[in-house]
Amino acid sequence: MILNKIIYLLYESFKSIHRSILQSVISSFTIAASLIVLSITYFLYVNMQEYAYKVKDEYKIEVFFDESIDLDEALEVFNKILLIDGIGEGRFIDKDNALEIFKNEFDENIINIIGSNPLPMGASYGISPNFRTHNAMNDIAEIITKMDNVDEAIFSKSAINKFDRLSRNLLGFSFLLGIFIMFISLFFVSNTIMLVVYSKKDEIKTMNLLGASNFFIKSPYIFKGLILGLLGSCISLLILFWFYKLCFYILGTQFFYSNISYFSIVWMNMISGVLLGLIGSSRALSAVIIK
Amino acid sequence: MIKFKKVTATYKKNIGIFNINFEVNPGQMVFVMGPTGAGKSTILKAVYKDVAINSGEIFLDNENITSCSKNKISIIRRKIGMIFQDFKLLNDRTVFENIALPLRIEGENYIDIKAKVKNVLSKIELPGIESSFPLELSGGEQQRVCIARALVKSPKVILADEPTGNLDPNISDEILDLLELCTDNGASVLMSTHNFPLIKPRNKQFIELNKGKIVL
Repeated sequence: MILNKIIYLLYESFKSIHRSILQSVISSFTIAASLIVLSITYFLYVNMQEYAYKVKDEYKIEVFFDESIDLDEALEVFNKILLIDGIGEGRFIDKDNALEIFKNEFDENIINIIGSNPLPMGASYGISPNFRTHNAMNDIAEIITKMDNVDEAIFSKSAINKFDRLSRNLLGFSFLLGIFIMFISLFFVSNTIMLVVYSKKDEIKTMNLLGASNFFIKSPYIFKGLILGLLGSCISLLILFWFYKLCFYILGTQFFYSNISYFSIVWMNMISGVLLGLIGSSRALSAVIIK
Repeated sequence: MIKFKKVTATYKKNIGIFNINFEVNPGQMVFVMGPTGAGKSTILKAVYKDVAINSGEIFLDNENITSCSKNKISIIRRKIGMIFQDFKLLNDRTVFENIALPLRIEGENYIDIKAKVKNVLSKIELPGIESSFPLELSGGEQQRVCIARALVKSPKVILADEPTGNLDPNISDEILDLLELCTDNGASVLMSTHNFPLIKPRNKQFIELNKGKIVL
């Protein structure tokens, strides 16, 4: 008996889509449009995160040791700094390396100018991912500066500060935009499905009078919402695929930092589509059936 | 089969039915007469639980249905065959789908449904219209389909709310014949109407209502 009912309700869902084909197409495209905007926002968010990560990977603290210390003392300080929380990898720069760096940057050999090498030994340290903020790096630089045999520890304060603020704002904005789009999509989808349910108001009333339970009345619309959600997600994936190909063709690979897996986009679209359809139809049904 | 014991059911502004007592036995047909607004439809609505009861008791098939849960209401409605003045057919579904609907609600299988629909269509003398849509039929044919939908599940109780209200006199008589036929199978029929000349020659029991009270 229950199996008969389920088969009938599934059959009714497909038939109902066929009966109101225009409204079904509109609902599916509304879901598809929402998912496209949502996917692009998600894509931009992940890309920005990846871009910010890549830029922050270049964050470094440069340390200059006292001129008076010898190589062994300098190496000892270098190793001590490596033990500080937040310091990633380090590169020791002896006097010869410093001379080489000076030569590369200024295209001059300082020994030819002043007759000796006045450059101090030093080191360049990468920063662990969790410490790549202006404040954390400032704290690390202060700890290093206070150490014996360290002349100074520097990093690009203002550039990092600006980039930190910019990436924080952009990521926050795209996250909020995503949530906003989710709500707008839900509103549009449920309103579109509500139109379909409203047009069936008399039919719902009649079924109610004939003894149909709420489950019997609601389930074809719920199934329909699910099917339209799946259909919408397929449409969105198709359009996104073409759009991605087009962007790749026009912009090339250098604008795409992320390594988002295609499967995650497919699943995200499928699940969001189904959820949008289900929540949309449930919301529409409760509005109509209560009234 | 249907029993009203001192039933009062009111809407806003104190309109409704008051202190109603009557009984419809198996195989009996009872007419509820009265002018518009007398409370005829309210009596039927009280049976199919579309209006709340203020006081009194209603029995359907020996079961007290005065107060019951929402789920129970749909179970009660499945026991009743309902016929409406405006037919309440689903216009985007075929005659077959309309008649089969109560059986679909019960969860019957397609083979049984097909046989029962065919059987009831021949009873109402409209064979071969299964694939037509309601709007392709005349008013009389639509009401016959509505009756077929009520009869297809062989209910013990049939409620007909002004079933001849939109039909011409000849067709109305045919509809009454069909309803009388149902009583032969032991069903109780309660029919509301304001058309006294139509029911007078039938020589059946009737209740006359005025302003929600039984006057005869």
